[in-house]
Amino acid sequence: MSPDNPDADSFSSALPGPLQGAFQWAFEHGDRVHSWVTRTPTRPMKIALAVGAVLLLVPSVAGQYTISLFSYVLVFSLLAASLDLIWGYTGMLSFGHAVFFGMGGYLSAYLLRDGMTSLPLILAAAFVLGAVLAVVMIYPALRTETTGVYLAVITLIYSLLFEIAALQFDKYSGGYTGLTVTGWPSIGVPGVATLSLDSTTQLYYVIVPIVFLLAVTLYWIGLSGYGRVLASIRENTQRARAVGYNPDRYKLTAFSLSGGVACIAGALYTPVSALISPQIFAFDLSGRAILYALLGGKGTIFGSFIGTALIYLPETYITGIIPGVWMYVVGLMFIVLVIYLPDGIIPQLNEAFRND
Amino acid sequence: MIDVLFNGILLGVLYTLLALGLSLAFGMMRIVNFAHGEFFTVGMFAAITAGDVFSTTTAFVVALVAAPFAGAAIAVVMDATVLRRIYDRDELATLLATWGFALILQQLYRHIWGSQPQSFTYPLSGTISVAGIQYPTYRVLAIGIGVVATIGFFLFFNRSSLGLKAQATIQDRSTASAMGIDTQQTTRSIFVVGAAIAAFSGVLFAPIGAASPTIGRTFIVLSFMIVIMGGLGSITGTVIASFVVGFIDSITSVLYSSVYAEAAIFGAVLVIMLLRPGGIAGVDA
Repeated sequence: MSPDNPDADSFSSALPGPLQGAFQWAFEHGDRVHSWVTRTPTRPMKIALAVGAVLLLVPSVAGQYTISLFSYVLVFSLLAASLDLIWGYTGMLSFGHAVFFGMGGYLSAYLLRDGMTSLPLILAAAFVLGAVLAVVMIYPALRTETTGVYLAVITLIYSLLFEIAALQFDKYSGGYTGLTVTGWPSIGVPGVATLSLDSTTQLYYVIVPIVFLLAVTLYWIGLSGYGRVLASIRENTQRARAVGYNPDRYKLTAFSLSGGVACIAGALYTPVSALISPQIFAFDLSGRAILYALLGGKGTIFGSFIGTALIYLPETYITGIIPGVWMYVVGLMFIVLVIYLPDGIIPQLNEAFRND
Repeated sequence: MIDVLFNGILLGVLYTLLALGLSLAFGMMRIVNFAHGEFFTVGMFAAITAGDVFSTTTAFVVALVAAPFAGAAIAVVMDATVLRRIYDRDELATLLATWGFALILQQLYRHIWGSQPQSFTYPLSGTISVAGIQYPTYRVLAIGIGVVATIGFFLFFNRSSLGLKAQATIQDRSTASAMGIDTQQTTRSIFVVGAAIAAFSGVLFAPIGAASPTIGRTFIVLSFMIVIMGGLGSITGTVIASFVVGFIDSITSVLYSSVYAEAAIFGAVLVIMLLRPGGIAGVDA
């Protein structure tokens, strides 16, 4: 018991043994948690809450098609946001995030097929799978100092390998045609009370809060002390090391978290699309995730949502009218964004709506 | 066994020609060119298109001459529209911008040549008997042309004025500039030369593989594995790694299936990364 915390002393001594330690810990770290929460800018959170609430109203005014379109936007946004954690905050670009997304997608396809429909369990399993996979995948790349380029290239190679492997093992992946997913996920406690989500709309009502919570968590991670260390590694790895942080450990954990969330996004994707095929691993999706995050603004998390909506919605519309043109637009967007708008549109929006 | 050896040499030579440009672009400009595979693709399609007009042998010769110009032309456009604006940016920015350019080129190829894979027949039919094994004549010819082209490149790089300027620029950009070398111009010229060689390599490869608009993606991955294995920016390392990769490729293809070649090569890359993070040539990574 620390003498400089008399309040803690008197209060915690009244508690049963094991709780005393816990209370003491909470008291000593309270400052950090407090500053972390108060440091959260209120405006982005307010906007996020408002958008989340509006999204929940969508099914009451829109049809099935729009609802599934919005589901896709949310799922891909989550993928882009998970990428933003390592790219925007830590400066590590992954060109293979589709690998995590695809593995999550296949995991949930298998579980749903085999009757393990509990969505919380599927997502937890997906997180673990993605987190472990991420560590195994990027560990060799951390040995090199030019992590930026090496990591981007290594992850790109993984993307190709997973696609080739999935096509090769068609017994498990369904080959070119992919696996059709039958069965809807359910929520609740398995064996006690479960609710099956057996329509696109019901699924959507669950996807919105899940994606919202994960996005807010990612945003908070970025603001936390841990997120600050990630940013310091991005800005100057040598100095971060000199100050006493182990950059490799932070890079590894950040990548692991990001891979876990990307895997969750994939696990949510399969029930929406009802189909998963090896093409999910290809460069296309990895590249798209980068573009979504880039357009929104690196290191903003919520920007990924704006970026995804601004690209995905027009894409489905235009591709329906003139197929084959969209790839030119995507290519041009990469070039124009990198050259003229490297920080994305969030800083521009902040500038436009500044209220001093 | 002889055919495994010959295939290894052939792929080693072709991969050297393919990867040199990528390695040079990084060494000179710190540009990670994700559109490099597209130069190779245009070489393959040059052979296909020439094959539609001329007889196979003539088409092959025409393509060998024309493809480097096509690759160079694309490189000039790319430099003028994209690269010039991102010279001073970090490597990841160059990677993303060139990826955008690659997507545009791939879609352009799809519009011009269709999305179905197309193949080009051997310009020389027949086989040569080497130590009791029949080996396609064309492949022997391709090894010959490839070796001559590689030697030609190194003569250019080590003897010509432009090549020496390029080496000076790679070693120390500011000093080279202070000595009166136009480093910008040198850099651009070398980038164009690298693209031309890659396209040339694509023509040589056309009779061996099938051309498709997105085949460049496979070859960009392959060339990056080579460049990482050799050490980013190291020319010697690139050549050594090309042959290592060529042999892994040819051995895996014989023992198992060409599907596993990529995985085997990547396994080798990971091992090199763990043991020698700077690559075979040991550049300071």
